[in-house]
Formats: sequence, structure tokens, C-alpha cells
Amino acid sequence: MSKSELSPDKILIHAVGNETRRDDGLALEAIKYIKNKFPDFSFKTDYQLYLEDVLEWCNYSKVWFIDASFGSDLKNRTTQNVPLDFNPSVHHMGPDLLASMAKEIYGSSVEVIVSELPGEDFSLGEGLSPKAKSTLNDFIVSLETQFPIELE
Amino acid sequence: MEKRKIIIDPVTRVEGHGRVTLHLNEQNQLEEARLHIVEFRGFEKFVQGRPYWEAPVLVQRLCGICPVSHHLCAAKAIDQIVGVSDETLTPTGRKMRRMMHFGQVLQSHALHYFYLAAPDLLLGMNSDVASRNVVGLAQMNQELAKKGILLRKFGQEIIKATAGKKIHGISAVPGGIHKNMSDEEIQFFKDGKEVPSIEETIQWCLEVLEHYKTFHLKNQSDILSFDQLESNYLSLIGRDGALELYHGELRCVDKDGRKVIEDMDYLKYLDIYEEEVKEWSYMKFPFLKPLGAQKGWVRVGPLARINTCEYIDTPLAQKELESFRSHNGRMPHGTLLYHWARLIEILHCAEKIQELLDDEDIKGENLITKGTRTNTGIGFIEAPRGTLIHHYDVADDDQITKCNLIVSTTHNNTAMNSSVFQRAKQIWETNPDRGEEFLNEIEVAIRAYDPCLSCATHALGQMPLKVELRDFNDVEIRTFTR
Repeated sequence: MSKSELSPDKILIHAVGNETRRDDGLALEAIKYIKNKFPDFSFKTDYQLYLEDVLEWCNYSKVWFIDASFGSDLKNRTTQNVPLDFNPSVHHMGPDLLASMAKEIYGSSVEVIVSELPGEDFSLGEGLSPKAKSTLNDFIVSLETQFPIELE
Repeated sequence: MEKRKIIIDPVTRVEGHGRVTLHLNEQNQLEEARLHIVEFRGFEKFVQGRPYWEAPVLVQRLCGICPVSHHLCAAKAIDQIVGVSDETLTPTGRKMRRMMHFGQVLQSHALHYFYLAAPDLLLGMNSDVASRNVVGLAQMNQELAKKGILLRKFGQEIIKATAGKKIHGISAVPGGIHKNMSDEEIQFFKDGKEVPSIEETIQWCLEVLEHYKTFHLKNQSDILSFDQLESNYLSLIGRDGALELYHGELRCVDKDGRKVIEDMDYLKYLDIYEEEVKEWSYMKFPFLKPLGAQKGWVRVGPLARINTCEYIDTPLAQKELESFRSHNGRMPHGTLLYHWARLIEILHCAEKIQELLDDEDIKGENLITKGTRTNTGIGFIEAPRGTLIHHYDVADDDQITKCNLIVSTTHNNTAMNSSVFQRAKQIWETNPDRGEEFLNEIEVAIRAYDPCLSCATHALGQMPLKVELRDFNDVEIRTFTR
């Protein structure tokens, strides 16, 4: 996203997670920071993505979706068409599938940016692991690098 | 004797994670199928020591798809601790809880049918895996996909209006409910502005049923030959044998529809129920004591409820029940008929919600009642996937000392293993090298039961399907992945 595209009424920032599953709450921590930085945007938080979330996504030109991941690297990416090896399960109502549904079912052109924040401990409990704290820090630094003006 | 086994790990598009191993003998014949449940939750243990009034809120965390069923089943059990029964709840408490439950069953069934099952059924279980999903379904029938999404949304909004939240609600409390519905909330479901109106919802349920029936009749022989599993069926039952999802007596019939036990008060379930433990699964194998472990296993869920009931007390669903029976007979056993039964139940729930939205009691102010304190509470409810049991013992200091949960999927444990075995055997004997198709058909058999193997975290990541062919010494000799 370039700064000129950051029109608040066009963007939904959607984070999912469960703070009682340690690093699963990474995105919820991240969105606290983003809310301070971009208070005029629309925000949505939940435990997970739901089928009917597609209806809300279609109301925006961009959705910034943030979730914890099992991956090793902090990743910001656009969604992809459902790949050949994609086989959805209820657990994996993922942003790619939802974006595909927005396009195929509703003809929406919503652009979905996905931030994957790697964690390592998804067990019952509160508080982020050292790796997740580091991820969160990297995420914040990357935001400040990308949008330095808002820091002034 | 040399054996080989095929492992399907994990099973996709079921709730939670599971693994299937198919055991072959030295003649290369399929000898046994095992659906392994690899997750262990421990809720029965960690609610011990908690005050009883926390149970309805705590135990619903078992699941993100049917938390309402756990919330209400625990509330029903805890009602007894505070000396209250379904009959002595206030009318508002009784009806608000039912409305919440109908919303739950409607949304869960809609999610399962449109998102999980329909791609297999309508696109073909052997169609390209890349398009065999809800997006592929949308490309084939956009209107059907839209209706599926909105039906699910309608159910979720009913839950929010009755439970306070769409997921992990908090309104059912010992002895009642702490929320009624306002005129504005009722109007929300009638005016059709933000969600489909209740009239529109009912109409869509009928249209989806018609769509399914057309498909079914065109593909009847394939559907019925997929898996025929003669079994006992268990469910709650309402007055005069009506389909009942929230509260009633316990009924069990055999494959011919004969009562295996007399309809009974579910509080006495321990007289007839026992659970077997097998070393290879965290999930127990319940059975009816009078019939023994070999013959006493049951099936629960939509097909079971349709088979145990005499009638449905809402007119449109009753008409659909008659249609179902005219096509399939009084006691059908086809596993894929679960889907048709599920759609009849969606319609029934929508009709019930319509009745309740017109009932003045849901606006009542008298929400909670209480009676004489006891130390044991047992709750039964028909969750979307079948009969759910919560049993709590509570000490005089209000702490829970014992908790036993028998969830719907557990009841279907033996049945799912049998269905997998039947399907796998048929495929293995005709063409063991079918690979992708082979895997998916086994999954289709499991998915028909809509099992909830438990849900947990949902972080982004891969969920591959991996199949391993291993010899007796557990050495991998062949692998399929997708």
C-alpha cells in the first residue's frame, strides 16, 4: 500500500487470534499498535475468520488481514487464487479463500493484503513467547519504515 | 503375518484434526480401518475445582463451531444444581434458550452443507480438487453459494441476539437466561434489511432442499451405494415422538425402527450407557449396555433424529420429512442421507425461529428462577452433530468435583470407523491405485457425519493431506500428498 491509497473509508484492518493461546494473540497485539497509528480506519477483531466475513470485506476496496502463523518469517503478501493444492477445512477459512469468494460470488475487486506474523507457542496460556515478541517488534519497525510521516 | 497400513493424515474439511490408517494383511486385503483422533483436550479435568456457575462459559471453549450446544448443555445440567428443570424455567428463559439453539443448528448445518459437503456432492467427489470447494461451487451456482453464506449469517445473528455474542456467548446462566429480546432485535430478523428476513430464510431453505432433491434423484444410485450402514439410532425425542433438538426423552431404535430401549428420562443414562476405551484413540467408544459393545453402538445426528422421530411439529419440515420417507423408506441407512436430513433440520429450525419471534414471551422480564440446591447435574441436548451429554458433580462448597462429557462425534465413533472401512474396502478391491480419488471418498464418508474432532488455534499455515503406505514394521513404502 502506498500512502496515497490510505483512504480510511476504503480500508478494513482485520485481525484474528486468541489471546489465551499465547502467540495466537499476536495479531491482536499488533492491531493495538495499528489503531494508535491509523485511528480513522475500520477495525475488526475476532477469534477466527468466518464464511460470512466475505460480506463485510466486499464493502471495502482494501482489507488488511493480520494473523499469527506457523511460518518462520514475517511476511506481507497479497492473496492468491486458490492454488491447486488448496483443500479448505473449517480451521483454514483463510484470507485467500475469502478473497476468492469475494471475487467469484460477489464480483468484488477488494484487494487483500495479508500479514503473517510467525509465532512458536500456541498452547493454552497468556503472553507472547520471546519469538513472538520479536516478530511484533519487527512488524512495528516495518510499519514505521513504510509510513514514517505518521510518526512525526 | 505381514501387514501393511495406509495412513491418511490429516483428514481435511472436518472440524479439528484426525488421521486414518488402513490396515492391510499379507493377502493385500483391507482388514481394518481406524480413524485416529489425535487431539486431547482435557476439559473434563481442568473444570474440576471451578465453581459450577462457570461451567456453561468454560466448556463452550471446546468448540468454535458449536459452542452454543456446549453452553446450553452445561446450563441445562447446572440448572439441576440450582434446583431447576426445563419445565420450571421461566417462559422467557425456556424460549430464549431454544431460539439460541435453533440459531446454532441452522448456522452449523448451513456451514457444513455449503462449505464442506456441497462441493463433494454437487461438483462430484472425484472432480478436480482445485475447484472442489466453495469457490468452485460458486462458479457453478452463484445464487446457491450466496444463499448459503446468508443462511449461515442469519443463524449467527440469532445467536448474537440471544447469547450476546456470535461465538462463546454468555447469556445462559444457572436457572435461566440473562437476556431477552427487544422489539428492535425482533424487527431485525423480520424486516430483511441487514439479514434476510425470517420469511425469506424459510423460502431459501425450501429452495435449497428442492435443489438437493433434484440432485439426489438424479444421482440416487450413487448416493445410496456409497455406504449403507445398518445401525442403531439414538436421539432425544419430543412429545408424541416429535423431532426434538433441545429437550426431551431419550429414544434408541434399531435398524428396523424397533425401540431398543423404552423411551427414558435421560437423567438415568448411566443405567444404559457405557464407554469403551481403545489404545489407539483418544476418543472413547460408547455403547448401550443392554446390547453390549459389539452390537450396542449407535449413530446420532441428523439422520438418527430423522429416523427416531415419528413426525416434525413444523408444517414445512413435516412435509419434507414425508418426502424424504417416500423416497428412502422409513428407516434408511445410507450415510450420505445425513445431508438430506441436515437440510430438513435447517428448515425446521427456521420455522421454529419464526414461531419464537412472534412469541411475546421472548420479550419477558422474568429471566431466572431457582429451586432446591443439589449436587449432581446432567444435561442432554441435540447438538448439530448429535446427542451431547454433560454430567457434573458439585461439592457443597460449589466446586465441580467431576465432569463427564460425551460429545456427539464420540457417539458416532464406531460408525465412522465402519463407514471408512466399508468405503475403503470397496475402493481397495476395485482399484487400489486410485490415489486422490481414493483419499477423497474416504473423507467424504467421514464428512457425512460432520465430525467435530475439536478445534483449537487457527494460525495461518499449511494443512497438507498426506497418505503413507507402510509395512508391518512401520516403514514407509509409498506416500501420497496433496
